[in-house]
Amino acid sequence: MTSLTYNHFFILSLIVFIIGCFGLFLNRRNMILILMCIEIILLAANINFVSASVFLNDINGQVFSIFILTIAAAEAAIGLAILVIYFRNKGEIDITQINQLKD
Amino acid sequence: MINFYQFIPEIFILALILLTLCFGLFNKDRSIAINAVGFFILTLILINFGKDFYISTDLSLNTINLFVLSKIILSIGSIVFILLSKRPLKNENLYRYEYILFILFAILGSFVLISSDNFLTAFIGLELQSLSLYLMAAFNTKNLKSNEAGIKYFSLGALSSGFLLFGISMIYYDTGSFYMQNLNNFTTISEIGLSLVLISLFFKVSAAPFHIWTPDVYEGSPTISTLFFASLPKFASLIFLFRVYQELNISGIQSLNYIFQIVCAISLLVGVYGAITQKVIKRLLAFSSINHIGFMLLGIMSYQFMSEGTLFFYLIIYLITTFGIFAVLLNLRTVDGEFTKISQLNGLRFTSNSKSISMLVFFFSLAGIPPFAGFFAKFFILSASITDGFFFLSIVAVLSSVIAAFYYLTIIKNMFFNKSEIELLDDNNKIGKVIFISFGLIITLFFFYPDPLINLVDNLFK
Repeated sequence: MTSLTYNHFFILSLIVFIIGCFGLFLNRRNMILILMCIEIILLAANINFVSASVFLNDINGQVFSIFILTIAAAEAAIGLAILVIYFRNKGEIDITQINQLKD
Repeated sequence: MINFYQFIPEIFILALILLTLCFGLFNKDRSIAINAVGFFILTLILINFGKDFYISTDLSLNTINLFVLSKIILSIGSIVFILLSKRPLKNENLYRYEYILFILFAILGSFVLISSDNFLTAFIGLELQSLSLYLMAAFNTKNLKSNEAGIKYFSLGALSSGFLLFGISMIYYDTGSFYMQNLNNFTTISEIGLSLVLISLFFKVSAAPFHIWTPDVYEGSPTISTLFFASLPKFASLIFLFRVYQELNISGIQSLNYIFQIVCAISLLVGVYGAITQKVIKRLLAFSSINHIGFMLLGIMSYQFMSEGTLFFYLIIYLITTFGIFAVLLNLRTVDGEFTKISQLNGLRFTSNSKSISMLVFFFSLAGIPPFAGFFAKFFILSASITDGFFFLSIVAVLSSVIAAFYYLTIIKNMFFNKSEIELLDDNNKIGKVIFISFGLIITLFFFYPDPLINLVDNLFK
C-alpha cells in the first residue's frame, strides 16, 4: 500500500484544472456553466495551495487559499449580477446568442 | 519590518472610498469635487514625501522611484479622469455615484498591484482592479451591447485570473514561497507556473494572442469606461509586468524569454493588421493599443542598456495621447446618440477647428511623425532595443509602425478633406476642451522644450 505523497495531490489539482478549462471551451450553451467552470479552476488552485502548504509545512499557502475563497465569492457575485442585467434585456442566457459585437 | 507609514497612499484612497460611500448618496456633484481634490492632495503628498514611505524596506532605490513615479502618474491620471467623466455620464443617463466608487476601487487595486512584492498582494490588487472594470464595462445596464461587453470581459478575465492563481500555486509548490525576491532557482514546474502567470498578465494588458476580448469590450462599453480600460489599469499592469520581468530575471530564462519575444512580435503585427479594416473608431483604437503594447513589451525587454526611462517615457506619452483622443471623442455627439463610426469623423474641420487640430496632433503622434512626442517615444524604444540586440523585433516594430501610419493618416485625410456625411453636435464640455487642448500642446511643445519631461523621467531613475 503506497502512502499519499504530494504528487498525488498535484496531479489531482492538475486534473481538476484541466476539467475546468475543457468545460469552459467545450460548453456551447449555458452561461451558468461558465461560472461553474471558473469556480472549478479556482478550486484546483486551492487544492494545490493547501496540499503544498501541508507538505512544505508552511502556513502561507493556507492564508493564500482563504484569500482565494473570498475573492472567488466576490467574483461569482459580480458575474451573476452582470448575467442578471443581461437576462433582463435579452430574455435568455444562451451563449450562441451573444453576438451583438462584431466587426 | 512593516509599518503603517508605508501604506499612507493606499490608506488615503481607502479613506476617500469611505467618504464617497457616505457622501455620494446625498450629493453626487460634491463627491466628484471631493475626489478630485483628494487626488490632488495625494499627488502633492507623493511628490513631497513619496520616497519616505519606502525608506525602511530593503528594496533597491530604482524600485522605490518606480513606485513613486508610477503612483504620481496614476493619481494625476485619476484627477483628469474624474473631472472628465461627469459630462459623458450625464449624457448617457449613467450619472450615479457608484461609478466614482468603481474608479476609486480600480485605482486602489492599481496602487496595491504596483507596490506589491509578492504574488498574494499582486493577485488581490489585480482582482480589485479587474472586478471594478467588469462592472464599469456593464455599467450601461439598459444597453444590450454594454451588458454583452461586461459578460465577455468577465468570463475571459475570470479565466485569466484562474490561470494566474494556478501558476502561482505551481510556483509555490516548487519553490515554497511566493515572495518575488525568494524566487530564483526555477525548475520545469515553476517555469510552467511562471508562464501561466505571464499569460494572465499579457491578458490584462491585452497583448496578442490574448487580445480577443479587447475590440469587443472597447466597442460595447460606454466610451468613458473604454478610456479607463485603455489608460490607467493597463499602465499599472504593465508596471507590474516590468517588475516581474526585472525581479525574477526572466531575461535569463530561455523559454520564458522566447514567450516574451513571440508575444511582442504577434502584438505588433496583430495590432496593425486588425486595425486596417475597422469601421468603428473604438475598435480601431483597441487594435492600435495592441500595437502600442507590442512597443511597450519591446521596451520592457530592452531595459538593460538604457535606463527604465525609455519605457516610462513611452507610457507617459501613450497615456497623454489616449486621454486626448478620448476627450475629443467624448466631446462629439451625433443627432441620434453616441458617435461610433470612423466615417462620422469626415469633415470634422468644418465643425470645429480646435477638435480637428487636436486630433491631427494626437494621430500624428501615435503614428510617430517627427515633430510630435510620439516620434521620440518610438525612437527611444527602438534605439534601446537595437542596442540590446533585438534586431528582428526592431524591424517588425518599424514595419508595423509604417503600416499603422496608413490608417492614422486616412482618418486625418478624411477629417480635413472629405465632406461630412452626418451632422456632428458639439457637446461644449469646457473641461474636456481644456484637457484635449492642453494635452495637444504638451505633445506638440515637447519638441521645443523637451527638458521638463526628460528630466522628470531621468532624475527619478538616478
